[in-house]
Amino acid sequence: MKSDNELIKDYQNGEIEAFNELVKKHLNMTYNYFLSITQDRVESDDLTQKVFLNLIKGLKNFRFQSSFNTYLYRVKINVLNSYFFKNKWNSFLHLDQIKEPSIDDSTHEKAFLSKELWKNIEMLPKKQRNVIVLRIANQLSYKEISEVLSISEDAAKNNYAHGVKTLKKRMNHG
Amino acid sequence: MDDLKKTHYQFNEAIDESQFLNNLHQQHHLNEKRKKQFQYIGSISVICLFYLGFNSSLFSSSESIYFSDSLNYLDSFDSIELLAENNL
Repeated sequence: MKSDNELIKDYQNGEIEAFNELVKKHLNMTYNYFLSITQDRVESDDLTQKVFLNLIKGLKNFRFQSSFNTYLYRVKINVLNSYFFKNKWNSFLHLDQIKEPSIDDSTHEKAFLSKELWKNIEMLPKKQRNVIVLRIANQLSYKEISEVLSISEDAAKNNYAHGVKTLKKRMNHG
Repeated sequence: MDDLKKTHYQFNEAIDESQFLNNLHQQHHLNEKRKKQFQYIGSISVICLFYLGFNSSLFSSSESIYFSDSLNYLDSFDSIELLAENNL
């Protein structure tokens, strides 16, 4: 089985099948990543497609300066931030009220709590939110987070601590 | 950290790979097509703007030619009238 870097090189040489192979390798992980955050299958499918549409274009100029996983985390974080931004506007314009949840909350108490958590994470400042997303949903170490977000490890720790403090306050009072 | 990790519910569902790939490539082609159309419309608009700008400058110059011709005509009319008066 070829590595990610080998598949990217093949894709850069014009082999579309190599790209398809790469998609298959990371598809379920990416989809479940978004599904865990949004708890909406349609949205998750859409966000996953956006990630791989970015990769179709972006990987043609990929220079192997960072690992593919780091690059993928960056793309996912960017797509997620756009989704949060769109959500903010939708709630501002009250367009979110007509949307039906695609996951039945009553049967998934844990999923419901998780949804509450992500609603609160969504409202955090961008820097804190990005660190928390990578720490909780991707389970990355502070070193890995610092590489993905191009910040220092201390900054990642500080943002995480501040974010968690705010979250605990909000969730206890809410 | 542990509290938040416990609260986060990790889904583990499988997605139809072949259907996803089909949709992905279709969407990519559609995006590329739209991009080309947009570029085409953009370049046509630029050409139209240049053409209009060029034409309007021609129009203003022809207008000035027309205006100067009219003045010449009026001058000649005056001179004919003067000649006529002199003759009288």
